[in-house]
Amino acid sequence: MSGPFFPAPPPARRLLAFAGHLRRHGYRIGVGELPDLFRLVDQGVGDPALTRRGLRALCCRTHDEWRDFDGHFHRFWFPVGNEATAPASVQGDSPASPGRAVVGLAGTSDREPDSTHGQSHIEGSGAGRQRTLGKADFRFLGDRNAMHEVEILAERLGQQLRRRLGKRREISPRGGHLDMRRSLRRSLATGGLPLRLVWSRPKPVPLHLVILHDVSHSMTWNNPLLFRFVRGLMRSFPGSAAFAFHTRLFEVTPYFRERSLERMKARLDAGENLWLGGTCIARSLAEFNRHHAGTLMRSDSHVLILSDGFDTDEPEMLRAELSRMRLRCRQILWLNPMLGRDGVSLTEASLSARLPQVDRFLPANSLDGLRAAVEALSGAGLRVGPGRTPSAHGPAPYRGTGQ
Amino acid sequence: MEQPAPDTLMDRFAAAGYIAETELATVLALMHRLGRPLLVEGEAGVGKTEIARTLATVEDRRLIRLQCYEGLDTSAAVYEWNYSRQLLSIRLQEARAAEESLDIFAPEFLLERPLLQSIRQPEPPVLLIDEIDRADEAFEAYLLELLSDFQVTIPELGTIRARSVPTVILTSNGSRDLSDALRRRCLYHYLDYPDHDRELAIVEARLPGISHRLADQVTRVVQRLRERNLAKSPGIAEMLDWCSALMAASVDSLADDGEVLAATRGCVLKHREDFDAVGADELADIVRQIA
Repeated sequence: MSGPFFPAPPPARRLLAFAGHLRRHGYRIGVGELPDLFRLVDQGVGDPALTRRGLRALCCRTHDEWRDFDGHFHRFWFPVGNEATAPASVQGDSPASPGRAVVGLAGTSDREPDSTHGQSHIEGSGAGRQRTLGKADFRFLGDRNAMHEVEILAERLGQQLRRRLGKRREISPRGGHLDMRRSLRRSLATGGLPLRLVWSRPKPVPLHLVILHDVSHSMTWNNPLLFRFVRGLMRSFPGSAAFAFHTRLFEVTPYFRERSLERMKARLDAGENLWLGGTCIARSLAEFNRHHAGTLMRSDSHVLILSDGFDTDEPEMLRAELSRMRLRCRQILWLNPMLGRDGVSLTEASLSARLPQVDRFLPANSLDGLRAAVEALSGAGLRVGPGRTPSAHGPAPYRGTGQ
Repeated sequence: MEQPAPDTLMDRFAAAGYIAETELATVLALMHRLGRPLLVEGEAGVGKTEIARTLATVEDRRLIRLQCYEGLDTSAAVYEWNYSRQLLSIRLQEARAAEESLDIFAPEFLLERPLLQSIRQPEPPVLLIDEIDRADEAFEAYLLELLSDFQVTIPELGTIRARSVPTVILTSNGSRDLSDALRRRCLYHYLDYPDHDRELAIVEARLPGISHRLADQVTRVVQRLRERNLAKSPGIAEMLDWCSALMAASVDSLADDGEVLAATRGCVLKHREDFDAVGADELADIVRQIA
């Protein structure tokens, strides 16, 4: 492209609209960044490279944002020849009408969806929009922008769990245990006077999750979002393990170790085993119990099953495999996208009656459902490990986990 | 402080042996202009730490480095009281039977650690906070005050403001997500592996004695290795090590001596599975493909 990006300083309104455009795509641009944006644009007039790259350095927080920035920049400031003919503040980024995007296994794509899906268009802005998205059923996120936002929010929800658990610990001047050995050793530097005491606090054990994700055809509409949710969990608790299953089981833990979201999606989409088909939940769980449970499961593992429950195997076999699994873990949570869905009579009570081995059935059809799952897991809380870690900051008593 | 243009910075960096891309030079120029810290993310071995070193060299400023690790706390990063000296002073005071009071929490009893040092310099230094993702979240939160206001609060002394504002560069390998509050205070740059031409320029700048043919071959092989799904892709430092090893073995072309090539591959393949996956035959294949 030739010529300066901004022949004259863009009006403040347009620059604010650009910031809004970026925010809608998940960029976190606070009020504090705006003065620097204006300063940069003022100083960068006539220097297109400095302006664009400077905006990128200012607005981006992560590699994914950094990589996508140029596309957003061009779509917003040079709509002619790009997909959008107006900024997203006026209309959606995609020229496709709402409901024309389709979701693949690992992310949103442009393919034509099944015409029965995605008829609604999520509208709104700010906190109101967040609330709307929170309640929206994943099936009806036809708008690409909305889908993109919800994917980001789903991943953040997964990451929230770690922060929630972290908040259960606090530094306190009272309680705790004095680490005598370390305090005495440290007092040597001060002639034997114990001027600096060392306190010990309970050693936190991060959650160990085992995630079993149904990727059969009936879950197609939920999977991109659930994969982002799982990615958030896996990044927060790296020692966890993730498996996908349809008619058989395969491990997907290495995919979630990819730092780049795009690479993770590419690997998931390219995975030879990750084709969509029927569902054999019981056989998949049996395979897990036989080949993986021995090495992976711990007595404090939390098993998350993400499935709509449509199974071609015998219910008795499923109950037996769940019973075996339950013996090895702390709890089993089943996130079911069918729960809480309009026109579906399933309830947690009815499912629990059929599968008592599962500790909780939770809805997974919306962000609010996933939020409930995070709450259920954070309710499990941190446990105190066998050892104690020394802390120089003072005692931090362990507070009850409510269990 | 001088605010160099990106082109000038690129030239100065090149003269110091760091071949910077335009994108990076622009962000460094912007960092000077806006007075904000810079957060650089990227794979290990792409040259993140070297940015700070080179910046300090080209601008003739002091480099203060804080290497982060799990458990890093304020006593290792910011300040610590010199307890031995305090104790001695108290005993001396007792021996003298002096009546005036002694303030043992005075600046002369303070041991400055890298962060405090960086804001107490008469001339602004370059502060490198390396691998911030290895530090605990609590320490990351502590950094916020320094990065936004360039001041440090010591409960016994009060708030110490910067005599000169350091140029702060933080690096992260992305082993954990950093807080949004920290990211918000920084400019952001992602340093990727260089393309072939830039990597070739880096090799020739760092190893002036290397033949162009060998440098070209090594960079192409390394680029091919990075396309494979290795446990650890070879970084620039590893590639330079490999070049040095091949030069030491008097190799002029990779096609000439497959044995030395295989024997020295440990310079770039640092995991056993990678070492096993890319054996002598695979390396020979790659060399044939790039010929």
